[in-house]
Amino acid sequence: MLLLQSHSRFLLDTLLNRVQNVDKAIELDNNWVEFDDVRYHVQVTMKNPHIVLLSVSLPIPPPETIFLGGLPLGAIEAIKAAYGVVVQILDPPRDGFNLTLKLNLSKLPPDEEHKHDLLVKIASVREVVLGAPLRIVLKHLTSRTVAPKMDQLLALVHRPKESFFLIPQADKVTVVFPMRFKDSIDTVLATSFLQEFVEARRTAGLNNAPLCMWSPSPPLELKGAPAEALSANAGFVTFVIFPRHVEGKKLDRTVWNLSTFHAYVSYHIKCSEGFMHTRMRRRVESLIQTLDRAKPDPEKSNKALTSRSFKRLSLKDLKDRRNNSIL
Amino acid sequence: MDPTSRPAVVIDNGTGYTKMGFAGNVEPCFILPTVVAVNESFLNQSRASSKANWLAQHSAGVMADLDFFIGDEALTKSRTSSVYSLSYPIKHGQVDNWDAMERYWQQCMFNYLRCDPEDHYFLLTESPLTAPESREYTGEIMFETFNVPGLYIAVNSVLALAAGYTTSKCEMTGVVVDVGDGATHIVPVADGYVIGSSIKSIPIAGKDVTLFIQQLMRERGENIPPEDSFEVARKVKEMYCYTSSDIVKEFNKYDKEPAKYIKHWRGIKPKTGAPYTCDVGYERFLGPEVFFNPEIYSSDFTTPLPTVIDKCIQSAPIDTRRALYKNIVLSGGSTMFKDFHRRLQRDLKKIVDVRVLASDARLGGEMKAQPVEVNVVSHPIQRFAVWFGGSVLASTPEFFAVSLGLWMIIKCACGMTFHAFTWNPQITININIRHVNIALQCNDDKPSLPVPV
Repeated sequence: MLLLQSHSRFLLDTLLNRVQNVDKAIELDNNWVEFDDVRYHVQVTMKNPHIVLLSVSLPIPPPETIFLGGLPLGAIEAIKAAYGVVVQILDPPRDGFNLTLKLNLSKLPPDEEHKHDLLVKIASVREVVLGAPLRIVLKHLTSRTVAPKMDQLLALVHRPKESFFLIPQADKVTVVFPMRFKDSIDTVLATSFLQEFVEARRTAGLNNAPLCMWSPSPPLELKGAPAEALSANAGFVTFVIFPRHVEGKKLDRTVWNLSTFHAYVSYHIKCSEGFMHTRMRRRVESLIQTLDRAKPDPEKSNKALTSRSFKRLSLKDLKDRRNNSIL
Repeated sequence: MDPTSRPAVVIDNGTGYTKMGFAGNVEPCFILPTVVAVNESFLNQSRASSKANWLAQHSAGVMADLDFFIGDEALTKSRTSSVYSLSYPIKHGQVDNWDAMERYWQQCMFNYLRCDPEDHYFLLTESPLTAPESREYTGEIMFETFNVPGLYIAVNSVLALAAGYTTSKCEMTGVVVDVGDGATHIVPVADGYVIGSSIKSIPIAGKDVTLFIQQLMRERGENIPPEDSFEVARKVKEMYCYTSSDIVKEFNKYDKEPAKYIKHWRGIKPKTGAPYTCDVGYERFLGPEVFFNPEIYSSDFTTPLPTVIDKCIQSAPIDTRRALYKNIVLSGGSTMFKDFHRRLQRDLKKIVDVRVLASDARLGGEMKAQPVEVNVVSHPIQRFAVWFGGSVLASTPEFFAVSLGLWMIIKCACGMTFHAFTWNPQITININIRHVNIALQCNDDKPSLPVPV
């Protein structure tokens, strides 16, 4: 559970369930929201049980990012390349969403394994759409070139009104994340977490991992960025990605891990908070035990024996009672 | 950006299963067993070796704060590896292990719903008998660990009633018969308010049905591996059990045509991998019968469920009784047995009719009582009725106003720490602590200092 998975679990469950019972017509209309404000909507109607309408809404982009028709650069091409004939992009998208896909379940490949892979890919639609520009840049890195028109500072949205920055070069890509947290405790934890994170990179086992740096002030690479993008209460994390990090199958993983880095950090902070609470509870329990042990034995006074905590009824009282209850 | 513009997260933590999803949907996204598999091998070492412990963990590649699983994954993990131990955070409807509960919530949010808790209001449920301390603890975890913007803890029986509200009629008066896995409560609700003094709870719930089936199958000598027998009993309960109208007739039916009624269970032994089969016979109807004739299962508690419901209604205020009889709502997974509501309605009607006849006889025919309408409501979403009610409630715009918007810890003059909720940051609340009135005014996220009045 170290990393977040790229597919949405619920979307995959829904799709698998649909594929298994494609003949059974049911009405489906589900809305849900993922981290970083990515919203999903799935609709299936009784009339066309093999058609699934999937709408996705992306976080609101800050002004410095490039969005074309409500989608990040190269998203449409990425969708077409990833899904082929199964998916059709509807234009205009559903009201309030950035993208609506029409999935035709009858066009899925018959081979079970391919089918499952494709469904997982559809369930990771967020990686495909939001990671599209990053993928283009990293793809060019594998051939050690720079994508046309993408040679200077590039801002990509990853959270509502927040972006991270890419500095693409022929032999490396520098990625800078301004880290912001709402809660003051989270900020402190995040700062020390990130420092440890950078420290951990230096251990022997991680020699091949991308270079990683953390600084409290914006690094020099961000010179051209707008001022409001440069305020971050938990500092800036910089990764340097080399061609060896994006070879072959590593590309997908790198794209996903980079585009959800903030979610990863925030997930780990919550986990460590939970862990700290566990430790605190344990400590409190042990301290209470110690205190209990220190208590002197409850005085074994014979008070309890002599004092009458209840009134003894005489025969007369009993008779009265009986009479009362009869009345 | 505003959390109120996103759907609230509704989580109904039950003893057996947890139902979670987003408000406004008809079905929960996930229904998972409430169980956590924790790697305790590093946690329980003594404090003296904590440094060495940390190093050992580090070199073993274990992150103790992340090394756990929930739900079905937890069950499979514990089966395949001996490192993990299962822990059930909720017992008899009450949170028992807060460490496990916090981890469970964490996984629910980050791995299943994949939502950022800072972005959503949360609706959680509690049983009507939950202690205020437990509610406070829940609030503490939700606000301090997860930084949720707002929280509402609803009573599950009211939610179950609210679920019926949309499917049939606009009625917020009724008796909720909530038979979960770990607890059975009978909760009368009048106009949306729980009548606390009349709540009845009985010590027989879904788990007892499972145990009873397990016992029956063991006594008959069915060929089931012992380590699997509880799980098999649970599956048999969920798949084959139904409520009979008359046990004697049912026994006769089985004896006459065993081929028609006796089912077969096929399984694979977990240790050896060898397949096995066993018969599923009388336990199909004897399991649910535990609710109607508890004496077949335990000698401690022998009052049948219909009698308890009747007692519960009889102890409620007299002007609500007719309305309560009219709307008896079932909720919880263990009310899903086929014809459960019919049997309940029939038995309850019998009790009521006997009483009406007796009172008629006593009055000697001078006055005729109006017949009492007994109605047990059953709907297809019974299993997650509580969740559905929560989903309905949390999708109304009023929900965000009544959620606890702010979590405050007020340190009072007397030195005690006091937790308080406010309904709305703009609101002034008066708290009475040990006869000292303290007015508290808060206009934004920062609570102002309490002022003695």
